[in-house]
Amino acid sequence: LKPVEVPYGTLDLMVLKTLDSLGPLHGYGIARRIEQVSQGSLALNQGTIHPALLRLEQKGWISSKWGVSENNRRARFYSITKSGRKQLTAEAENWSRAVAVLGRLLEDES
Amino acid sequence: MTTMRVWIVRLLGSLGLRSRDADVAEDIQAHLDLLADEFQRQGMSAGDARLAARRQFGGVAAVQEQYREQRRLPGLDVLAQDIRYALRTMGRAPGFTAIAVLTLALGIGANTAIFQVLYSLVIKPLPVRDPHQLVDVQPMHNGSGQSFSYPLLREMSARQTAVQGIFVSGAVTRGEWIVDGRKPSTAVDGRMATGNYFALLGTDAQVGRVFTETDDRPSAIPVAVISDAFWRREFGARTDALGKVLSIKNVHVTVVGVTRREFFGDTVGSYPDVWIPLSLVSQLDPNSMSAGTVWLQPMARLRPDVTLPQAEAQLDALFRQLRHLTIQWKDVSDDRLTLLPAAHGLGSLHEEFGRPLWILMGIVGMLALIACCNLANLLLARATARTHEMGVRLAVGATRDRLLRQLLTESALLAVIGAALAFLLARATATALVQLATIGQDLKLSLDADWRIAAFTGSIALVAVFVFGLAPAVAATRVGVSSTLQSGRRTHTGARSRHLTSNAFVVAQVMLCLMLVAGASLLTRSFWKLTHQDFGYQPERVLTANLDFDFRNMKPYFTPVFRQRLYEHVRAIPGIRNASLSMGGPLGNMSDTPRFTLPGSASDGGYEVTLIRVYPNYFETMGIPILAGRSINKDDRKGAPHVAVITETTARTFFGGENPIGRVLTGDRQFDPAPAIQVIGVSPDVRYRNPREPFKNVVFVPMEQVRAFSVPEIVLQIDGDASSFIEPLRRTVKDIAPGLSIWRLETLSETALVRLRRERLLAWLSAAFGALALILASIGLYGVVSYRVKLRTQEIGIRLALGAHPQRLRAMLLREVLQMVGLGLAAGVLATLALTGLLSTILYELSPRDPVTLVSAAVLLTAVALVAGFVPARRASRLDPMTALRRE
Repeated sequence: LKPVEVPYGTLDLMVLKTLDSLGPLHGYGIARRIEQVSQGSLALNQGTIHPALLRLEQKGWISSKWGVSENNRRARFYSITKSGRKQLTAEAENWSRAVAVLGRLLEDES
Repeated sequence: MTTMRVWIVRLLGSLGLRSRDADVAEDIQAHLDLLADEFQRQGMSAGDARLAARRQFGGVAAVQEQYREQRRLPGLDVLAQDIRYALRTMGRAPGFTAIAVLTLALGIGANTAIFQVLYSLVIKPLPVRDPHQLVDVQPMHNGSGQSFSYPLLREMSARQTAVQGIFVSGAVTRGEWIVDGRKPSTAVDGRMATGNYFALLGTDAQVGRVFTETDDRPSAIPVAVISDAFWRREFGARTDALGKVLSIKNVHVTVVGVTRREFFGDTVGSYPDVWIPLSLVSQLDPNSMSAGTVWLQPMARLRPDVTLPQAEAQLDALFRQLRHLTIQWKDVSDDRLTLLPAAHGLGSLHEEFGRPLWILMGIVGMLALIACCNLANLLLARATARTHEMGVRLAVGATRDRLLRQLLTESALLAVIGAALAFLLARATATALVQLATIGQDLKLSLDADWRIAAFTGSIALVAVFVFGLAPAVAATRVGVSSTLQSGRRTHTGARSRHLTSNAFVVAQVMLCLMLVAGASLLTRSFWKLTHQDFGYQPERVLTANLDFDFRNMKPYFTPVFRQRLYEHVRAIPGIRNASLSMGGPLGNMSDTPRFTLPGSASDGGYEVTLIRVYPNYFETMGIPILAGRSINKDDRKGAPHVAVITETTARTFFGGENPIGRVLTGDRQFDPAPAIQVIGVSPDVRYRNPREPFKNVVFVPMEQVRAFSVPEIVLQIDGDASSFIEPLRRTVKDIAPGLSIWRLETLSETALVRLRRERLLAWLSAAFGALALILASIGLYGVVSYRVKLRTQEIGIRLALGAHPQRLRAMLLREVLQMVGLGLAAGVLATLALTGLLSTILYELSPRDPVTLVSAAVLLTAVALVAGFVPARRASRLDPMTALRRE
């Protein structure tokens, strides 16, 4: 099975969910986690995580501060904010609904 | 919310306030290292792991770039780049930059300065609640506004229901104020105001309270409200100013509050320091409470449910019932009470300067257009000089939009610098402008540069850039890549349209310039005519002194004995040519206008005359010739037969063409029971109040034959410098009348100038702006011609080499100039004829379409244009053909 591209607009949601369930993480950690969960079915250029992180931070949904990684490097650790959590709930619900609709539509077709 | 937050964060990012480039690099490096460590754990070599990490990560540079872009506002990077580039370009052509910025600064600065004055003097309403409800309550008598007496005001105020209330403030008669036991740092401007004054005017106190109706009762404890300026000046803005005592004459008042900072009472141009309740007038100036003293100019606030005409009708009805409370109006039936909208407060400044300032606004508007034309031409010339650069940039892949943007940025930068300079210029000149406008009046005006002024300056600059920067920019980028690169400067493709554009700018400039010069010439000539007309006396040689008296100690100075002494003493002042006394003389502040009739005519007939009471030698001192009969002399004293000298206009009014000498006139109230006055002489007409009004019916009578209403004015005829007589005169007055003081001392020409300050303002400023317009236009023409010459250096070289005569070459170049100027003049004459009609009410004995003015303006402009064009044309004709040809 060929890995799929990350659908447009879902990366933000994935990042938020990751931070929500695992707590503060650096960029690598987030990318790693998303890859693990997708079990190789997602083609993720890890670099694209960083602009997404900036975008989320500018929106105030995550915050960041410097910390030390497991290999003793200075890295930025990101954590979800209160408004980020609110956003996550809303977005997640939207997604479930959209996926359900899409699912029903596709079933009808087949 | 989120969107706004993002924009703010990005804006901060753009400004470099959240610079994180290094941070980002470090964070990405950390990510890469972690990834590489992972690969190493899986068994790769260090080098392989690093490479694998990079693959997995994607393009580092791309991520960083994306990061950077996302951190800032879109397009801002490009803008910064453009600005940097523009600054470099400007630095490389300092001459061009200086002229462009200066032109803009002058053009915009003049606009800002005039606008600032116009705004504070004319446009801005009083800084109070709902100023549009305020009206000026004015009894009209023969078409001119009158004042109220105290009893009439009180009665009307108490009985009316048509308006929310009638309120008034009147000056505290001159006297020394004592502030908290000491002398104040400057003279104090005190006002007496009704108790409802602050409440109805619609303002409150910033500290303490304003006074109210309760404070305005005769039994109340005397209080005072002080202005913000006075509070700062005398009390250092300390709150312990409340409770301090101010005294004037025998009255002591306690400060209870400070008005708001922006509040200045009811009249634009005055800033009272202290307000006290009007009921104190009974102690300060009982004279002012009589029904015979009219001095109050009340205002009213309309009720929301009553329109102005309704309120006016109701108040007028009441006024007719109560009119008898003012003595002067007892028997006059044609007076009406009128309400005039007074959102701008009382005072005549608004009316006096409204029209002149709008005219000046138009003038400086045109000046700004001329400046913009100049700028456009300069930019156009620069654009052509940069054809090669543009060609290269297009060739290496710049889009035309990008180049346009770059060029517009350059002009925007010029505009910003120009506007900033203009703002400073306006700040510096606006105050001087107000002083020039309001000579003869101790006028204070707050010229705070508020946001409106800044917005005004900014918007002119913006228009200047986009209207006048766009055309040159479009022209500059309309170049063919290959042609410019191949042949450098030699080709002139595209130059044709550029020439047309710059010709159009020159024509427009000449047109505007003609309008300005013609307008300025009309206004200055009109002013000259006003000041150099025949006044009927010799204004430059007559020095008048107005005396001020204290009502509590005025008795000794109202007697014939005192006047005789004063007369003798002033006549003894050394160095004077002649001296006399008068009461109600020309250009003074007092006038007495009784009604005179011919004996035997109907009792309500007759005409209003302007009565001047004079002492012997008056006509000689003033330099008024006696055309027929005799003048008034020392035998025309009290008890002698009543006599009068009348002016030619008076003679015509009463006697038509007949000889007035020996005829008899009857006066009214002052002469009760009306005596017969015999006309003994006729004088030429004299300018009485305003030098541009029609002549009045002036009647001179011996001072001692009529009841006096004040102390006399001193009239001196002098030679040369007036200032040398000031000291002797002061001393004389001090010696014989210690209770009097001189409050105005000036020649009649100086007084006339004050009366003509509006015309003077227009004349001076329009002349200055006209000259500036000429300078700008000649710079523009010079620039255009020399630039053309430069472009055509080669052509000129060839012509010269082939034997063209330098003189004919010059003629050819000048012909082009004259064509443009001719076209501009034609358009200018038409525009001038269409617009100068606006000046007709301002001009004195001069038609707004005066042909002499138009022709001389056109000649002047042509001459200036020829000089401006001649210099570069001569330079061209003197080119060495060989050098010109070699210049590639």
